Amino acid sequence: MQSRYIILIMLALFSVSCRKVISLDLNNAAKKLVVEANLTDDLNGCSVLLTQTGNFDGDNNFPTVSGAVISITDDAGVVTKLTETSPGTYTAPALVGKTGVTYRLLIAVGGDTIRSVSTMPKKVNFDQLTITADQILGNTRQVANVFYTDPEDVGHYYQFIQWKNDVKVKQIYTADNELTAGKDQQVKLYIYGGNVEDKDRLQSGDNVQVEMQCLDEAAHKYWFSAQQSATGSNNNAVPTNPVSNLQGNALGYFSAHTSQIRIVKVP
Amino acid sequence: MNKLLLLGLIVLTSIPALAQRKVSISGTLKSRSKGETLIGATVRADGSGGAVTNEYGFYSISLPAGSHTLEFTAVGLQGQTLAVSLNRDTTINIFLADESKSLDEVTVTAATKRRSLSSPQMGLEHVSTSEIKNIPVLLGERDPLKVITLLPGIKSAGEGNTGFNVRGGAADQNLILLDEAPVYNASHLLGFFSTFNSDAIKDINVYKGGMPSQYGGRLSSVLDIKMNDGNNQDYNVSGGIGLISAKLNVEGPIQKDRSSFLVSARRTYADVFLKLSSDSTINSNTLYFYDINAKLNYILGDKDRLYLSGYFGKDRMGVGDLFGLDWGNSTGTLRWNHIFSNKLFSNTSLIFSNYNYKILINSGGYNLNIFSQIRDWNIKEELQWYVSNKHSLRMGVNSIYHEIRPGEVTPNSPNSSINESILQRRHSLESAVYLSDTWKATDNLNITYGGRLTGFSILGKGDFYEVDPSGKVTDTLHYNDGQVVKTYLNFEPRVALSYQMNATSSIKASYVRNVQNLHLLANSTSSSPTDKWVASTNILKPEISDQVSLGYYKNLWDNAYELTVETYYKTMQNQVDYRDGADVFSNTNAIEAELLAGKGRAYGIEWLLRKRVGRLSGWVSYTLSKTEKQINGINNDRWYNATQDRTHDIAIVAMYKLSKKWSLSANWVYNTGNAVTFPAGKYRSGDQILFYYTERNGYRMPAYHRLDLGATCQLKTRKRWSSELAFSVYNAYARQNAYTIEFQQDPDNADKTQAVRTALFGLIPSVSYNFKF
Repeated sequence: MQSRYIILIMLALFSVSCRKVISLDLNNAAKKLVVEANLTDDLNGCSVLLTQTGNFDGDNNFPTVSGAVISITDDAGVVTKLTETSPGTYTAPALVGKTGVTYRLLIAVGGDTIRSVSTMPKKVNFDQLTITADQILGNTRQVANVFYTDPEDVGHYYQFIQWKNDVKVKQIYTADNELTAGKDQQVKLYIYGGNVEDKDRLQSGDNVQVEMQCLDEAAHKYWFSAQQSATGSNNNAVPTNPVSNLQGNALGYFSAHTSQIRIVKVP
Repeated sequence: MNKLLLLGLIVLTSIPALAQRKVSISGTLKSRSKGETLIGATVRADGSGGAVTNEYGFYSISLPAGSHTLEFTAVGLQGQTLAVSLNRDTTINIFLADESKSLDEVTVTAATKRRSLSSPQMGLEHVSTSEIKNIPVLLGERDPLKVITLLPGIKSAGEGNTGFNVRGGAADQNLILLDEAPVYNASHLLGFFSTFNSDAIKDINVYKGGMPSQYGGRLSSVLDIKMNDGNNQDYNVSGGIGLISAKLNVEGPIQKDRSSFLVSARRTYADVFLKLSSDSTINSNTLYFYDINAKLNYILGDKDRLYLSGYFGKDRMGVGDLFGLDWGNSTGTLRWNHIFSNKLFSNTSLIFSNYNYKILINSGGYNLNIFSQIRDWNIKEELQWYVSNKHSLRMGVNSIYHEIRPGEVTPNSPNSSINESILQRRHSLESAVYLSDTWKATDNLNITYGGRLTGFSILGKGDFYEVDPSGKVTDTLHYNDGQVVKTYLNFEPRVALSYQMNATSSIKASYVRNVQNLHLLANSTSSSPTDKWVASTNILKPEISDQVSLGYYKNLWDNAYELTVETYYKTMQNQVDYRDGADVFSNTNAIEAELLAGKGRAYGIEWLLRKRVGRLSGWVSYTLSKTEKQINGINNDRWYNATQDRTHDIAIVAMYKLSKKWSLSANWVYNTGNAVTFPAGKYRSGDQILFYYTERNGYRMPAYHRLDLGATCQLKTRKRWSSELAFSVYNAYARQNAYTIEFQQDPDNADKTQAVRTALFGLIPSVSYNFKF
């Protein structure tokens, strides 16, 4: 966050700086399996999406991976098999995650095995969602605010997902309570970045939906490190793949998290 | 090591026999007009041999009793010749007058010192204040750190970045000394300008290799900056007004010939322009820096001199009351020179250095301050013993007490959603003893050999950790106040020799080991004031580098040109980097859990052709080099190019004295782009595109090149008053050099991704006015 401000100030000061789309000759890496595995505390909250990486120059529709055998096993040894409901998407609608339970994910696909473990943490209540008008470097911006109270004990991790008129905002918002345990929180979900245009920002009349996820440390680490180093923007860190909680030859994550959604209209 | 000491003893015990019937002459060289002591001035006896003044202008030379002719010379000053008849040890203090400038002639004498062919010192670059004055720079803000990056083997860390990389080293591996005090962050305004005000500076040396044994604590280079002492003859005021800053320099005698003062201050006023904006959210922003250099010096008698010098600088920036960042260095040095005898010179220094930053954030419920600081107390005693014409010894002891406050987060309002979190202070004691002998083994062969023994003790109180390979803390060890957690003892041998082949050429070779116990953690590609300094711990080992280098030096065309070719090979151990996905801003005592350590290697060849005299002066430098790192846990444990690895690096600098009124200058730089990590693919994650990386630093930024032009017009001078206008154009052909390349979804086509280059500067003209009276 600090570096963001620093870069903004620099660009504001030396407004002669200039952005231009350029073409680069980037290597095409061998295709790699990508796993997006979620388990929430809601019905229909269990889904695993298998896709593959694509070339930088290619389009953003990635090939799906069918024919995998996927199961999730809980603490008590109860095994739930997922079924492929559409190409690459595997679900188990009846599997509802419970706080404090550790789930084991097993994926067998094309001779490879991917394993992961995720524990669904305690739910922290999503108290309120509001919109505020903030002054940022000379502009008035409508910003979504998430309110909750951090528990007294450290080790709580959150992810916030924001939709503007049912379109997901392409930003990753994470938080932990290393410095905020026991305090009332007001988290601002800024929409920023070099390619953000007015149409991407919140405008009067927009429907804003925010999901608050409580997730475990490893799942949080995935999103935190993705935000720091894998989104392609000049963030704080050296670019690298996010720290994954998967074992095996795949990118992605397995997250057992609680889910709460609130909706508000921009005044 | 024992062998070296033994050699030293044998050499020393043989001295009395050689020194028979000799007398020694010593003294101090000063400029007549200002009383400034002259560093590196030459004293020659009977047209050959001789001595060079030390950093306090002191020289000592031994000669057979009898009649001699002594010749004293220094760059930019009139030489002086003295016929003497000597029967006993004598003190001769010399004042050299300014060069007389004939009315209709352009001065074409040397602007900078000649590189010594006979001295074993290699890897040394010297920048003169006149070069700093003439070379065009961004927004006309004269900057010694920008000028040194035009020399071979010294690379700028990037546009708008004061950091520099020497022979493959990282930016934190440069020991930056201002009057002996280390400066921990040499940048102003996020790195666009350096902390060094060129008006206050007397002398700049950069050691890229073969560091003399009195220097230690950093792996890659020593940048030794000496401030002016202050004119003890007359009052002088000079100043300048530029596009972004104004400065004023006042100096003069407190008591003529005996004591003087100097105060030099500058302030930028970028924020004044912000204030002009009617927009309240722009004009409430803050952005400026100021700094002050001050110095007092007293001549207490023939044998004693005291210097008190200090630097204080501060940067402030802020976005309304949303965000603020203040940072600054302060240093202080108290030095006492004492001349014990014609042959023994002593300097005692008490040094203080402090760097801190403070961040203020007010965003939603986050109302907090973050504070961090590194502070040094340093005592040093050095003796220079001019044993004979064949041997001169330098020896010293030094002890530095470091206190680091790694991070202190405090809420700044009662409603803040942040808890106070104060990281434990870290204390350490860094001590060294050193000895070196410069030995004129034969008429052609000079050898400097010696070494430095350093001890780094990590002191309690505090918690120290055991960390497993995955970065999990497995054990916490508690230490009490004053308890020694661990001591690292290292011996750093230093050897250099020169062989002069004839009057115009020589070869030199050197080996040096350096040890570094303070490490700067910088995860991002550009430096930031909030990068963290950490000391070695039980886990974090001292960084060690070993460098061998070989050089060839030749004066060409009647000494008008100097050709220097140096090659080096350097290995580095215990190089630190962040783990992938490390939380850079994490406020944890166990910082080691976020780090990995590995090794590095660097090698290259540097060419420098320099013209020192004449209407046209300047240089061409070319560096061909390679720098790699290998850290288990990064890049699948394979060797990879360090960010600062640039294959080719070229600089051409030209200064031309057109007339008495006008002087022109130009410099052109070209370098291979930095090694950089670009994606090899992409994938979706949470309905969003992430980029897929297969190799660390496997790509290159586009090549960087830039031309800067400058012109200085000397305005009419009246009695003491003189003034000039300096014009400069930065990036004269408006090359769009890539500052960053980012990857993003195409805003016009959600189905595509694109690469976007940001260039920081187009063509930037500037003008500044400087005066002196």
